[in-house]
Amino acid sequence: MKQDKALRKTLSQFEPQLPFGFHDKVMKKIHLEAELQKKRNYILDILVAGTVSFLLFAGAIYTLNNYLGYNILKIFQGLNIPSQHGLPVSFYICMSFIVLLLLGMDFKLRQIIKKGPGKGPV
Amino acid sequence: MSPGNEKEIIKRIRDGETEAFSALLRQHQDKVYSLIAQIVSSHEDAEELTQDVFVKTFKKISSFRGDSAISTWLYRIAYNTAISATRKRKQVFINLEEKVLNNIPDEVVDDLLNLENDEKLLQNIKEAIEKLKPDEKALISLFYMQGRPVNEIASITKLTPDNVKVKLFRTRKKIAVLINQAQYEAR
Repeated sequence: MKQDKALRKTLSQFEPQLPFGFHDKVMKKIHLEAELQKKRNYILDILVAGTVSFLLFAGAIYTLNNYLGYNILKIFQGLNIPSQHGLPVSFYICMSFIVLLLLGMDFKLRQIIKKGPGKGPV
Repeated sequence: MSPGNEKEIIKRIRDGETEAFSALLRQHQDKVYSLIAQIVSSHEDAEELTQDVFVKTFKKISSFRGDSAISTWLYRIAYNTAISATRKRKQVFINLEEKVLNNIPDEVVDDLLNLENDEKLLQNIKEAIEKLKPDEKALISLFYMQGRPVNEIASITKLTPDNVKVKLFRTRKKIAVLINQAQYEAR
């Protein structure tokens, strides 16, 4: 079986040539695919960061309420600072707390994602 | 390209350097195209399928574990892509009965497939190969044309090495039977 000279000779005559420009055409497709992958990773990163942030925040509220007996809403209700713009101060405090928490988590997650292999920067 | 060099290229591609894929493409494009063209028997389809194979390779490169050579992994993708394409076309291939294959002695097959200077015979072999099933074409192409060892062919086709040997042996016999039939019809 190792010899089969006639079979080898016939097959050696079959040398199809790739058309001119094949390499460039494929590389163009590869670059497009790389761009798509980057976009997909970016969207995935945002989704993961958003979900994790939400879960952490919900977990923190749940822990404070049920395990530490620390009711954030009651504390905010207890504050009675007059507001000139119609919205209660407790609203601003609550929002700034959430914003700070999310910014912190966003910073941490970006650092983790940048360290991961094959992931582009967010 | 040495295996160390290929590992370095794969690492660069995984790190986001897309242009590094060009070296891998240049290294393997002709052989992959040749294998696919042999299986699908159409140069236009083969070109399109070869493009698909390299795009698939790029997409899956992060899952390449390095258990085998990159060429083996690439050939496996090419083999699967080409075989799937032929299945979609639903072509009819010649099925020879076991009895017919067993009727031809091994020595006759050996003698026939070694007459390298008989141009008419070479033409008959070419026509016989065209009548083979896609997986049979792939086997003889990988073994005789690309010079891949049986173990590697087994890894590419997901067969056992013994199965590869048996299939190669039977494919040779089938070629010999088809040549005999062609010669008989020509008389």
